Amino acid sequence: MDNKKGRTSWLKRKFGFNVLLIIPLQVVLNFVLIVPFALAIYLSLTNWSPITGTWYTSPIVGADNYVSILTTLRFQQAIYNTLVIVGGAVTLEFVLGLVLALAFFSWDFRGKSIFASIFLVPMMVIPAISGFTFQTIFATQGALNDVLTRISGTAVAVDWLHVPSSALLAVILADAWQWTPFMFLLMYAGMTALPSDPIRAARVMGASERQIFRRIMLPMLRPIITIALIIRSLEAFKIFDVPFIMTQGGPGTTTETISIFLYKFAIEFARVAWASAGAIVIFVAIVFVTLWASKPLLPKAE
Amino acid sequence: MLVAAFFALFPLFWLVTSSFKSPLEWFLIPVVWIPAHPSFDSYAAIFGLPAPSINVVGGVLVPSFYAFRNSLLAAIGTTLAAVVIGYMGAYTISRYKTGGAMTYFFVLTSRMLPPVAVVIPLLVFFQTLTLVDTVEGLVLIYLGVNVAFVIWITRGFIDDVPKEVEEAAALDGVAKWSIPFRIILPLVKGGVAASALFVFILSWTEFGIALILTQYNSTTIPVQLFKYQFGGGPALGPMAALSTLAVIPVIILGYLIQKQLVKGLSMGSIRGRR
Amino acid sequence: MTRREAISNVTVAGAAIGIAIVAGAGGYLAGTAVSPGKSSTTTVTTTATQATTSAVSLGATPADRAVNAVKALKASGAIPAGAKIRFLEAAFRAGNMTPTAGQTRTDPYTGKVIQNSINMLTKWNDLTGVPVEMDLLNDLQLYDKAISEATTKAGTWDFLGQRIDFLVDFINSGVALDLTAFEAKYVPEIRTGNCPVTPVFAQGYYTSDGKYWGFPGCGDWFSYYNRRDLVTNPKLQSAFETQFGYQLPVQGPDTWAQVLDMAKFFDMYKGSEQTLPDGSTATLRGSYFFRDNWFSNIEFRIRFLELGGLLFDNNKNVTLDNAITRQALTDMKALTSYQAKDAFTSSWPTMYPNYSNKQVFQTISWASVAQFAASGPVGGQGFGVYQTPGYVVNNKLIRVTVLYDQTSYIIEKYGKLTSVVPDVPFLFGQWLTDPEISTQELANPGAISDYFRTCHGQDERMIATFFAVWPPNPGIEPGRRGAAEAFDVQFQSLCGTWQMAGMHELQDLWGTQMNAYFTGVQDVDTSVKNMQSGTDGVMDRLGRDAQFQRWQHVVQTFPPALKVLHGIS
Repeated sequence: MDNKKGRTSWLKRKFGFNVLLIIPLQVVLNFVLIVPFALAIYLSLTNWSPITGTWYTSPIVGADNYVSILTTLRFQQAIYNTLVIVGGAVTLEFVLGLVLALAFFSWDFRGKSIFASIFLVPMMVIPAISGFTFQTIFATQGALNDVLTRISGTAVAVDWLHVPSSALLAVILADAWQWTPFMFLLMYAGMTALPSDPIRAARVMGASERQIFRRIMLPMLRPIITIALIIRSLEAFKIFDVPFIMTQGGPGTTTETISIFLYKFAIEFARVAWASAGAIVIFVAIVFVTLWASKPLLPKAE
Repeated sequence: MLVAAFFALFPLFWLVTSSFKSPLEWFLIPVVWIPAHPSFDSYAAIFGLPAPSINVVGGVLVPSFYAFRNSLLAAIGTTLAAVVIGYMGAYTISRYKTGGAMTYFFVLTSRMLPPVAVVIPLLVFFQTLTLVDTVEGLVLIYLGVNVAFVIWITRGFIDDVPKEVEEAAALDGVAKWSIPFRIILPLVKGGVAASALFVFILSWTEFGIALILTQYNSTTIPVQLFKYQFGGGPALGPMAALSTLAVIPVIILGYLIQKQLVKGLSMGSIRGRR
Repeated sequence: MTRREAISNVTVAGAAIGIAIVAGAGGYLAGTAVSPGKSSTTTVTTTATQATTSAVSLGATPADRAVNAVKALKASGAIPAGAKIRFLEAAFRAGNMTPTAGQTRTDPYTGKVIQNSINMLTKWNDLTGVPVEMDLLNDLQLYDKAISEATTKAGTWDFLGQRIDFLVDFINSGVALDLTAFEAKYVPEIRTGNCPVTPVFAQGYYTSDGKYWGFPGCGDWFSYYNRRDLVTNPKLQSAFETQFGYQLPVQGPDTWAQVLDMAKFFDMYKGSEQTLPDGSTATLRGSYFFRDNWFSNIEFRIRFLELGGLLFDNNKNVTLDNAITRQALTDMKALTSYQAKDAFTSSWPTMYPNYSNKQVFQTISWASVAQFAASGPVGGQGFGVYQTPGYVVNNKLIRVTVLYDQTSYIIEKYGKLTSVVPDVPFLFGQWLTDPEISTQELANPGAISDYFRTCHGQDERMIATFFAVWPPNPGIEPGRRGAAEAFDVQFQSLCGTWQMAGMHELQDLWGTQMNAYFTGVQDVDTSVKNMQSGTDGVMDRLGRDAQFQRWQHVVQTFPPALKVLHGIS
């Protein structure tokens, strides 16, 4: 490719075919994301709140917002809550998805495609409504306690949503219900794409299913597992709909995630500059963590 | 397997039965599993048709017809645009390494940003462009947020297609412009279909951004549900009815794409990472 | 091209595009920002050409004046063709404004067929020719969307329904229009007049910083309810006296301590169904006091004020960290042992069906409990409404009901019609809240509107209209007036809501701290200290002096007993 464009004009060289293809993408992203983000950075350096004035006359206060929000207990708690939810939910989704995918992969049974369709359904339910559904299910006088009462014979009235640990668990369960299909899909796709020779060879050599899985399949699946975990974690980090509807931040503020915290302070209490500082801090943190986590995935130098 | 299917369907079952309950049964203690007198009143109510039993405390429900229209427009528009733009971007990133790792990473960061962070500046920005509360505005921001998905998934697929295919096509005299579309695209159909489905689901169910950018003209289904929730107390029946109806288009789409999905996903994502 | 060149090409292209967009957007934004905002507010520009006529000559009642004034404006061409009033209303009030004309509604509890009445918006259009377009939003969105008008200045609405707690934020952000001049010109009789609004509302809510700002909307207020059929049961009465050593209060409890005793006694829920003294079965809980964020705040303020608490002392210190707050919170928590835990996050939709189904013994709620109480096994006898309980301070029983006001109406300065003819949305509000018009609105299903006009309780037509829609429950004792009692009993103890800047944030702060204590996440000291420090932060950030002045304004709305307690005249 190097010499093909040797004699064409500079313009054509600089803005050749490949660049033209990517320009729409650049335009869109710049337009829709970078401009507001730049504005958000500017705002985070001011003192602005819509209930006290206009944004372009708001005085610049430098890093005050950053210092203030980082030392706010509620913000730290939001970060902690989000990490707990992400950790619990993603782990659960991964394990369940892997188990289901393995079951689909290893066994043949009738109605496989029907089951597959059924398993995909939770992903298609609007998260806001699944939050509300789970709120009624987990209510102290709701469906779950009703079922447990009928099963166990004694009255069960667990306060799922009003005790911090079980509220977090309820949110994790709701999220896992919704997104296990995603992991299932990715894992199953990964498994079906594995080359079958090593597996067959191992079977011929008498290895047990367990050994096959652990020694052969798992290492080959590692790239897609990493991808799936990264994608799902990134999404889970922004979780908003489910806890917002289900617990409105939980007993006290114990299920208040970062997105809920930012929503409350930026939109409901109109402390836009202060919340913007927090959002930028979170964004930078996520970028760095993702960079670090996806090191094994970057293409090696060519 | 059956146990898993039960868990997957249980909340949906709860939702569907709730959509037939009468208002007195919505929050009754003990819980009502099967409504005593199932009625279609909730469904009638969300479309503005007469539903006598729903007006219990006089709240009039806002009809949801426009929410359906807006959600469909936004989701379809976003999906089409994201697939087109994302495919082009994925092709050039994959084949020409355009921009190198920087561009690719730049695309990824678009999904790391909590939407709440940019939504107020976006509001100001859109206001000057009179895009607030329009479906076009929604499509634009959804596009920005979701196109990364298309690139993620599609790029791996394109990586898979050996360069020889393109070179052979070039030798055959196929114009450079149409190689991505005539030659490569059919080969990566599965991946494109998968990413289209994901983008559709993400746009259809998106709540946070829509909550802030819509007012009355461009209300989408999730925001409409939210209106039913706190407008004088949660209207469980209509909410359940609306969400039951909202699941149907996605299920249809998923069913249509199902075959492409698995086949497609398997080809792309792993191999591109070696 | 080599890879490096490719990278540099794209980055150059990208940067160029990006800079172009950012520069363009920045310039555009700056350009629009610098240009002067929409037309000013307090001066009535459009009617300058009209002959100056005194207000009374426009009409005898506020509604007449409003309609005639709009017609005159229309005739003079001041109203642009095709203009309409954009109305933001809370979703739960939709039934008041726009019932589907001609549609009948059957009350599920009494079986009575209630004819939906007038569509208020259509009626206004018929009278004046100016259409009204209404948007309905839920409680959470109502404030968020309206306050974002300060940011966008989009002028989406002209006439805003809002909780009046947040009025000061709307004033400070420039969204609310100062209506003082219009009040003088058109005389809506809100603050004064022939049929004035209850003083707590009139003076307290619509006056801020000496100016006039709005109209009353939904006027329903809280009273205390319990299951009268159980309270009048002789077997239960003697059992109660044996256990607690005093007579079961038949005419409603005086003190919160009695409320707690009754909750203990009537909490017959042992994890499963119980047989009540009358032979029926139920899972009766001792109480159901809403504990979601909004209502925790209301009940807290009630108890706090009854105990003699004040938000500010005379030296502008916030006085929340004290024994009063602690007692209010501990008493609130004590009740939660005797009620469904779902009360922490729910409110009337979960309580109402269960009150009538014998799951709830006592509550504090709206008048519509009366309707729900009329159903099923309870009937009219199950419904007893009384004054909110109080505390005994300095040997005096102090009862307070904080009138939290579900929605009131303000005018948005940036509204498309408002910025051209601000009179018109104002006159719409004047017409809507006219004593007779608002009585007609009572017949519509939905929240009770504007009942707090002092003439409503005395004017025969108005009483008749009220009882047509809110009849005394079947089976109630003769002479009792059902839901209407809910308003009578509370009149003497009304107190204004706490109207100051940053109320949205303060309510969330207090609500989450209280909730953390009620659910056992924190102890009471931590919660109280956090409430104190957080409130201090908000007051300092938004101007302590101004907030202190606004608190004095609230103090002026205290009921007589409370004023005596604090030595205020």
